[in-house]
Amino acid sequence: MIPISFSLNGTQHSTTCTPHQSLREVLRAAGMFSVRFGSDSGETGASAVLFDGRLVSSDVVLAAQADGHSITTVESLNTSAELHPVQAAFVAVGAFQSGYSAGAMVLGTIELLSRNADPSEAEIRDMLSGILDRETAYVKPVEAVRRAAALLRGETPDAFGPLILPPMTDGANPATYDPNATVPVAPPAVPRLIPSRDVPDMAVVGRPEIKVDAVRLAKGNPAFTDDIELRGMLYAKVLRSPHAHARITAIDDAKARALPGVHAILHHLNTPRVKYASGGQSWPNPHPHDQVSFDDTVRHVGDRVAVVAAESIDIAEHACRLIDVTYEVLPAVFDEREALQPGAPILHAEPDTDGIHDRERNIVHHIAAQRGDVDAAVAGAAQAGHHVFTQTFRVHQVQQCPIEPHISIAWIDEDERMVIRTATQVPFHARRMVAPLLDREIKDIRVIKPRIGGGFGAKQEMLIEDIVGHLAQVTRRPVRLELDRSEEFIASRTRHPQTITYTTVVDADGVLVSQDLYIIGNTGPYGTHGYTVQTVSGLRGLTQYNAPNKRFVCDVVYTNIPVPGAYRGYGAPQAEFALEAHMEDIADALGMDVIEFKRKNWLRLGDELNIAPHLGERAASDGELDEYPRVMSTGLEECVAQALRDIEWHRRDDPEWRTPADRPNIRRGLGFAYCMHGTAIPFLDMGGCSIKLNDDGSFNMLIGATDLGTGADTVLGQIAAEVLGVPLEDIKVYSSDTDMTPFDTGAYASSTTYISGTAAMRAAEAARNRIKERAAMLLGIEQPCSIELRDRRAYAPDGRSVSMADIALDSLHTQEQEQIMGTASYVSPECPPPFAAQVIEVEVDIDTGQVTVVKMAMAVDCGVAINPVTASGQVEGGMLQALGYAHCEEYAFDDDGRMVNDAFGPYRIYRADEMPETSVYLVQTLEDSGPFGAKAVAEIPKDGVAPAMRNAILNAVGVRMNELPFTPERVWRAMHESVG
Amino acid sequence: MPLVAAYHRPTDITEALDLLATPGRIPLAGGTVINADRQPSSLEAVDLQALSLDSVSTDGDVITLGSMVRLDQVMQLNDALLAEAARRELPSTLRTVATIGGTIGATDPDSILLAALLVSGTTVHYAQGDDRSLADHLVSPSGLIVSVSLTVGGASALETTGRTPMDTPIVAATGRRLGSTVLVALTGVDTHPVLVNLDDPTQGLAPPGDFRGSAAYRLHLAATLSSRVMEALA
Repeated sequence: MIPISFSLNGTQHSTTCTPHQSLREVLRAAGMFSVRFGSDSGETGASAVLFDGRLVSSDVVLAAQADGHSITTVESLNTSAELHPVQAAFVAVGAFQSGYSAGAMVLGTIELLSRNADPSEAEIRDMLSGILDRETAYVKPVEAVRRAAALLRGETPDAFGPLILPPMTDGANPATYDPNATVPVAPPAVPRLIPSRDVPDMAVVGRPEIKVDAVRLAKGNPAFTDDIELRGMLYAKVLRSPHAHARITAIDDAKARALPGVHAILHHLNTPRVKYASGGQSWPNPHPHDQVSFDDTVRHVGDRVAVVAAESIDIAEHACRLIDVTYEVLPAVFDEREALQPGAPILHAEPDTDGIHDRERNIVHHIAAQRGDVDAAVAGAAQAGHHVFTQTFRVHQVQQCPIEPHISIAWIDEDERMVIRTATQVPFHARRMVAPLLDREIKDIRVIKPRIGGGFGAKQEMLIEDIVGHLAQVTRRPVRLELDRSEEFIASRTRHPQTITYTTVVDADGVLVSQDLYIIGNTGPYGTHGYTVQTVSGLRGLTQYNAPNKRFVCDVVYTNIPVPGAYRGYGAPQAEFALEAHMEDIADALGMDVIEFKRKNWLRLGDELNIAPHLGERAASDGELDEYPRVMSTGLEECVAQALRDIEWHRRDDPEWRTPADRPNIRRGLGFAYCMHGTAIPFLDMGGCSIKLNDDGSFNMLIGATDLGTGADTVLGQIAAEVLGVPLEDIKVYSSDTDMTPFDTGAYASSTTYISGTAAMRAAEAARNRIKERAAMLLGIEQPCSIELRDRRAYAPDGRSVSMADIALDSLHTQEQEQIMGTASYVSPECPPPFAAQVIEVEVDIDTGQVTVVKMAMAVDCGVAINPVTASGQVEGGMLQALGYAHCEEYAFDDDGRMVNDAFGPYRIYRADEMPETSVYLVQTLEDSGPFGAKAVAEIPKDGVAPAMRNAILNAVGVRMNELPFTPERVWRAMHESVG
Repeated sequence: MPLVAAYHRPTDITEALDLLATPGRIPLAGGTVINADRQPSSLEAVDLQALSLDSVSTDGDVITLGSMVRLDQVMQLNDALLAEAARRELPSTLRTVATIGGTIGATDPDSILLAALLVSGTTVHYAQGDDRSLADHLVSPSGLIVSVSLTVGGASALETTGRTPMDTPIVAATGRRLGSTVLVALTGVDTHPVLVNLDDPTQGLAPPGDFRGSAAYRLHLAATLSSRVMEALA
């Protein structure tokens, strides 16, 4: 050990370290929990501190290098409950979603402003370039730095909130496009809100309230899974397969077991073989259950082989290297089209996996649904004078890339129960699913979800909870397992690659006659979310346009790539890329204006969602139903009008603009995509909420819903506050602890605001009803329903009132004592679609194929945005991820299936200093089935960027890119093939 | 972190050279490359931070940079090409650690900063007292670098092609014209950045291909981007 001493937040700190210990590790050991792990190579910046005043990723600094230096963390600002002005600025504009890298952003801002009181946007973005963020698209952090600069200069910035814009349409009919219209001017971080006359003004709902967890995030307080220290904790490391497909013929762990500090080694020879499916989904999890904790066969590079628990991560890693594994390497297949072919390697020959559709052809699921008669429509097309268009698209494998990797800590508590503190989106599913693997009853397991540093679907799995559970049971010590960045790529979850073929029949007037969609979905070696994601692809790919004949056929196929699973959008981004590209090309072939062609066919108010009931885990049969769900709210025409004005759509047809004279190698283009998504899964997603009144008139709200940084806790709190007539600060939200909170299916399927929000509303209404009765007693009123709650008081019709605190004291302490509380749960029979218009401006270098995205704008109808700031943040972050999907992110493999870019950098995600200009429009509609009119917003921003970008490239250079992503060589080759 | 078995912090060059004479010991400049390596190699780190190698001196158009000068310091130099190259080399939280010496030591084939140093006529100065051109050093890297000297000014140009605007370029071309002398360098076409023949920029190049760009595409970019740089410097 090396003795080191450095100044830590102004106080000399002396300790010891190993030669290879990082500064991050030493700082966290010293209690600086704001210094967080994102990767060992420092690109995430989550670990950044001020090192002699410079912003430095502490991942890549040896602790020994810090000897004699000065280190500052964000904890240095936390001398009181008040926030530093820089922290306050970030909070004010909603710049933190998960807040996982909050400390780094705050410190970077302080450093920047210490040398430049009025930095330019480019300087701000350069400062943020070393802090990767998958959530905000950097839009609001940039605004926060501007605001912080103003505060520190002694200025008083205006309150942050939406820019209210008048509508451009009557809500139903299209606007006439005006090329001279003025584009609204406001900072990009400001959401443009177009109110609906149908929506009343409310006290809390619809307001840009500060997030309920903002202070803890801004201060870098210990809030995340890893931010606890347990006595005697062991550290786990997984030994992973170097082969894409192999049988394990022998494991010799004797040398590893002999290593001092090793407490347990688990593998298939000493772990019960209990079959399961890891997707975090409702009971019963879809078959096949094709996984076990440790198998005798590995099916992708990175698959589990063994795990070690030891007294340090170094010992655990060392022990992994000492485990001698003998493999019989088997042939592997990676492409879903090849996996279907006769003679392809069979991935699941084991007899104890049931429910595989066609094991010999690696087809896990075969999905089919039809309305009308597609074959007849195609067969009769020529005679009817209809056009038939067929196109095939290929979409690739990408990763969710939460900056916080998967991490779980498990221990046996004082009652011999298993406690798992874990970064999960689905704590209740995780508890239920892990129980049989650990041979425990559900009641003997408690799952706690602390703050999460992003999930985006990757954490909608029971991914590592079984491992720490097994180890905690074997060792009877707390066990911690955190994936490193490479493991996050190769051993967590990804988006499904697909091969997508559309055949569409269109009549002479441009009206769709039929749409036939065939998808080969690549689910990797395990089924997990394979069925449901592909089903959603079919649902999304066949719903947003009207056609009397529709058919979805899908083969979900096993291969040896790292395991796909849930990823925000959940099958929709794949299908909508293909659909919106296909529709663009059809319009082009027919010589029609693309928007007019799409408008002629897109869903309108009252239209049937005619294939939706026939798809999904609880789908109806193919037979005609008596009734179909319909579109009951849509702001699509307003979205289109706002988006086209923003992007100055007329430039698309302006040759002078498209071919700038001063840049002969550049071509410009604009692209459009129409998007439609869903809001929760009807009859399946369920949320619960419990609210109780406290002595001072405040409320504790317990919810099962899982805030991933999305602001769900805040939004649900706002809903309850609106019902109860109190400010948001009086609602204390506690979420996602299976012992403490009601059940919730979890954070997925754009369900939280709609499902859990309705549960929150109903629980608050139940409490409100009892509050009114108690108020009526106190006020001597006979009709409690005449009482109104507002401003923390209960008002009688005659104007007399009693405070919420007095009602609470009376009910808890004075007469006929009772705990006023309300409990409710909600499952929806409906799935109201949000709508959106996505537009993009690109520049294409015709010599190199490099595409530069200049601007993105999205106008979204999400019903009533409960909090326009958090809602716009969802759209910004969604567009960032979608841009990566379209433009630069991709898994690359060698011939043996080893990922060659399993690190940030080679796997490219957008940085702050290269983001295009973005703007977000929130088009309000009133969805009667949603809480206060809300629909979903979180996933629809993932749907439109790829097709809009593709269509912009087409506009710029005339090539049709039917494969993602649009990397320079791919575009360059397409241009050459086009010329050829 | 790699398996750093021991950490040394010499206080003078002689001590550093003595330490580095033992096999398995490597100089630790900033640490962004070595400390980020997760491969289980066993090495001893010889930290150069106490050797006072962080000075910047200017003599007309010639700048001498100590090998421990960080990239964020290079960004402050009064030279647009070097400042931009340093900015693009690494993001904000890493360029405050990475050094000129470490950048040269890593010989990253994709390094824009190395290409910018090449076209600035950089000479590498070693602790042993000898000098070599950077171009020669990159071909056969050896020796403890204490400083580099280079010539700034004139006209410069930088052209890149990457997946995104600030991506490590698939290929980058950079050039500097000082009087009648024009130098152009490329990244992404060899095992390290290279100076090119102005009459035939792709002469002798046999770039390796990868998922970001095939060999043929890299050759195409080399020709295209070199041509643009030379046109800008003409």
